[in-house]
Amino acid sequence: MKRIPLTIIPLVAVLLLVALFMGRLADPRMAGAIDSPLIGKPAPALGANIKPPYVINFFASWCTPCAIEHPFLMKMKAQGVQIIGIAYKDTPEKITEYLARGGNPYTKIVYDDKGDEGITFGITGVPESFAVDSTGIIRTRLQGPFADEIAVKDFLEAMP
Amino acid sequence: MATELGHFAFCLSLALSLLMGWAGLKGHHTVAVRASLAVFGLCVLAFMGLEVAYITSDFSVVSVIMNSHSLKPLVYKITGLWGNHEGSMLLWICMLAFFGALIAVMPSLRDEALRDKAMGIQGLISAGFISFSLITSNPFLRTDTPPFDGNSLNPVLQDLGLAFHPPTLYLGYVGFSAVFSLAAGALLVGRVDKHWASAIKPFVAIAWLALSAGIAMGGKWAYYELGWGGWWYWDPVENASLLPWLTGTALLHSLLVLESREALKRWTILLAVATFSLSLLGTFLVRSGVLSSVHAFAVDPLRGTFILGLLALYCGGAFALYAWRAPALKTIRLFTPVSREGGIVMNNLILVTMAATVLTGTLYPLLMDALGLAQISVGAPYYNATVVMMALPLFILMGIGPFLPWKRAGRYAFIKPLAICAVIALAITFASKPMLGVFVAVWLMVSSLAMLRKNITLKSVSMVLGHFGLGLAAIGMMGTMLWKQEDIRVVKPNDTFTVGRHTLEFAGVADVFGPNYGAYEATVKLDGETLHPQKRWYPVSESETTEAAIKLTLLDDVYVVLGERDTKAGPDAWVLRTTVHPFVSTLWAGFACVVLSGLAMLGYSLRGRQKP
Repeated sequence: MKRIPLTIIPLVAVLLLVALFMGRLADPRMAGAIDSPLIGKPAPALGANIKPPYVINFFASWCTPCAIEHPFLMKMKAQGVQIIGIAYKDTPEKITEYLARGGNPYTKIVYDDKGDEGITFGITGVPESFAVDSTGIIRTRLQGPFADEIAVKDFLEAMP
Repeated sequence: MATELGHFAFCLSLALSLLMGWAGLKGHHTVAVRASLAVFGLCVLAFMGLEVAYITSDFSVVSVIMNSHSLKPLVYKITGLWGNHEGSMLLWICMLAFFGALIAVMPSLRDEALRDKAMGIQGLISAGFISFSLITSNPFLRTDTPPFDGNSLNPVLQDLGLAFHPPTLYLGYVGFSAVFSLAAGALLVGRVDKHWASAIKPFVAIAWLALSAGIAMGGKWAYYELGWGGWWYWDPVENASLLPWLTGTALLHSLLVLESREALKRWTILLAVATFSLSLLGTFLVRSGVLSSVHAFAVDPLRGTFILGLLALYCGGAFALYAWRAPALKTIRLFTPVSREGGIVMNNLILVTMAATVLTGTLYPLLMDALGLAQISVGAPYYNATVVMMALPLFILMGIGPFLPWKRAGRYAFIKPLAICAVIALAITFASKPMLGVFVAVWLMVSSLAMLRKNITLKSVSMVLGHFGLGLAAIGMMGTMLWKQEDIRVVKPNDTFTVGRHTLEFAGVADVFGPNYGAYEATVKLDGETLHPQKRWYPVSESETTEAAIKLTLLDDVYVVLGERDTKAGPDAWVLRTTVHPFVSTLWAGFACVVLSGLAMLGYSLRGRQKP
């Protein structure tokens, strides 16, 4: 029998790797959009000294969808939901002006001028919201604005 | 209109790259060359078409809605094109087409059969990725309900440094596609010799140079933006850029052996194929979402499957070709272990082992998960214990290797200069900590510079810059990792204290008022220079911010932060935090040297080929 040349090793390695990735892609957990790896984990500390449950909302004065979801945040506040606002890549001056227009729904505002918190939370843009339950665990995430009352209801139901 | 023209050009480029693939592999030289140039031209047209939509904020194009905003500064409108999956894929493809055109016109690629085959393979790669873009992530799609304004660019990317970090990295990743095509082409033609080595060198130089610059830019951004201290986090996507860099570095060294001694043929081909395969693997990891990372794009399983298919096709195809044709490549000339070739083989072995170690660490969580074992993550401790330890012998060898003569070291004439270098390095590093680490870095710098005493050519300068730069960067790495000094203390007015080599004098805290905030502002004299760290209070939003005062010097970066008032210690007592990061500028200077060495390599590899 002719000897198989050793030069076949890289090919075998590539095929094994491809098989590994195929298994991963076929994994049912991949089917739904991969959600934030933070879900089910304690919320990163924000130095806000607020007792959970609360909603973490990334926003900015320069962001149009944030202005769209703003009334929903005000309604959430009226329902007694605590919201920590993270002002993303923004200045306190602009935020003050922005909140003067539509009211301030936030229990506390954390300034993230460099975007560090954005990296910590792995956000893909603003607005983005996280629901933190009474034990301090992140329950769900919403990418983009709250579009309607149903979105708000679904979001809050995830956080008992 | 511009969008449709771009879209049409892009579709046409798919057809022409298929033509390029067919003509190249069949050896229809003129057709293949024209098709290569046309594909590049059309891809540039497509890119410009989309860029027009971005610049004019045409919100009927979905990609512009998702990633731009009419109020954004023009420069971010332009860079916004590639700050997202679809657009960056278009840029990726433009570069692929650019390297295809470069293969077509590279004057000193004298083996026309090889040129044809390489163009053919490059054309097939372009065809695969253009289809991927058109089918799964078309950036030219329009919507029938255009909104008034866009959703803005992902704000993390609204940073000039970051706007140019991905394109530089792509140039590196994609540059290795040309090396890959030329390697697979050489296997098809069946000729791997010193002419082949000199022919692919400029391509390796461009790709390696861009990859090095991209990694350095990423590190710098991470250091200044992600909170002072780290510049490398062993994130899966960072590792994905390190992997081709390691094998690419091994490749450019083994090319030297092939060029001057016609040895290491199979090995060099293997490295050339593997480097682009690792680039593709990186692309797959970033865009498929199989690994979670801060760099990951939005996830769509179809995209992942498509790229995996392309990866299996190209890498599998090339490696199958390798398994089939490589045994026919015979190396006749031998060399002894103690020789330049021997040194480069050792360097290659260490670099490839490092790459394998990083790859294992990156994929280990996936493998564990696939086998149904624990869900784990692999972090810095693993890499520090393995890769960093491997760097020590590598650095020692890097100092020795260039002194060794080719073929075999006669009479051990190389020992004397090396011993002198070792003594100098020991004298400099005497009593430093950690002695071994510093010694190895200084040794590398001293012995590299010693190479310049005999002949100063562009080639030797390139080598010295690369090796010296890595030594310099190693000092910076140790500085940021091991010698960071942090000082937290309670201070009262006129207190003087020292942190490392710096003397700080705390003058006191005053109340200052901004347009909409009040602040406590400390006055701290750092070596005679006045700094003003602040603690601001914004009454309307009931929030406070801390503004650090930063001083950058050649030797270290210092930053001072004002903490809380400490009422227990007295009415004017405050907490002050001072952090010193030594040798940060050394790190960037080292990286700059490495990039410059790539430029020098490009220079001499292009110039060397003018002479027959």
